[in-house]
Amino acid sequence: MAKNKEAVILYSGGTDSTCAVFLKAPEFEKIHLISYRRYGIFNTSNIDYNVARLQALFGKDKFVRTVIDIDKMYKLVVYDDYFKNLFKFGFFNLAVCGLCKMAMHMRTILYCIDNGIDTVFDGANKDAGSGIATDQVKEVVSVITDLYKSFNISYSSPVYEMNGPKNLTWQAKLGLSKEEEPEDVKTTGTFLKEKGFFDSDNVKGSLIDKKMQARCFQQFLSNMALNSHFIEKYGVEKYKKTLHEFFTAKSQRMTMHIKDFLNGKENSILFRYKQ
Amino acid sequence: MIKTFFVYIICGAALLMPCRLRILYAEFVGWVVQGFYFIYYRTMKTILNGLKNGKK
Repeated sequence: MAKNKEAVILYSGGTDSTCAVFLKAPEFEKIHLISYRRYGIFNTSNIDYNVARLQALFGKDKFVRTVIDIDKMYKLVVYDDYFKNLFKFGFFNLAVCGLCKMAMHMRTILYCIDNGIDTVFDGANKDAGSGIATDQVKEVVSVITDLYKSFNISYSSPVYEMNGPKNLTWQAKLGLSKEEEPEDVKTTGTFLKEKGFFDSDNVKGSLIDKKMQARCFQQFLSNMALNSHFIEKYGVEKYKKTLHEFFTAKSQRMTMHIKDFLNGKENSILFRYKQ
Repeated sequence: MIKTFFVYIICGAALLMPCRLRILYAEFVGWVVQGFYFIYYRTMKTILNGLKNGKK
């Protein structure tokens, strides 16, 4: 079977996006591993740890490594049409991970257009953040997929339907009880362990995990406002529905900005925000 | 009720902040929350170790 030419993978250095690379690298001649940095995300150089290991495994020529600054793009995504969103969606404007990821996807669209690439993958997973991560719930992923579609780019996560690792209880963390993963459960971690890339089938949250990923603690505000307040008060279904509405509104504005930029409109806001 | 009050104060303040200040504020809140978790975890671990040693 003939190989496709090039694809982009949004690479964070973590278990899920590394698994995505393992699954998609054999299908493409070249993979663009893109990582993003912005003010508030620290130790982005940690990501290079697994990039070097992947290059050793698949060959150096397999990957094009790029790190892009999205400081301004993030600011645009968060504060565009802000007061309208503030009154309509309230605390959802603090959904840092979802907004940051949207800035990354926006920048990826521009990268794809600049480089003539029409396929994008990332390591989004249905179980991330106990299944309610603002950037990875199905409702938001569908909005992102449509955002890419408007520019004729296909986007998907090859690891989306894989199971996430079991969250350890406090008793297990303190060594009071032993909780083991059922053997038949296939996670991104078990996949990478089988391939010999990791020693353990769940490195998430461990010291080694911290050494291979950038660090960011800003999600706690969003966790406080949305997970422990909104969901407790209104339930998960309303949370997901509002998240979908919020990101649909954001996505429509961002599509408009990208189209203005591509059409060369002089007053396009992206001339100021693209880095 | 108290929890809701704190959420509105802490998160409401963040909604009014400009980008960089909000990032710093969110980082600060993150460190405080992590600090609480860490203290809770270490305290529990110390108590459990003390109980285990006492039993021996």
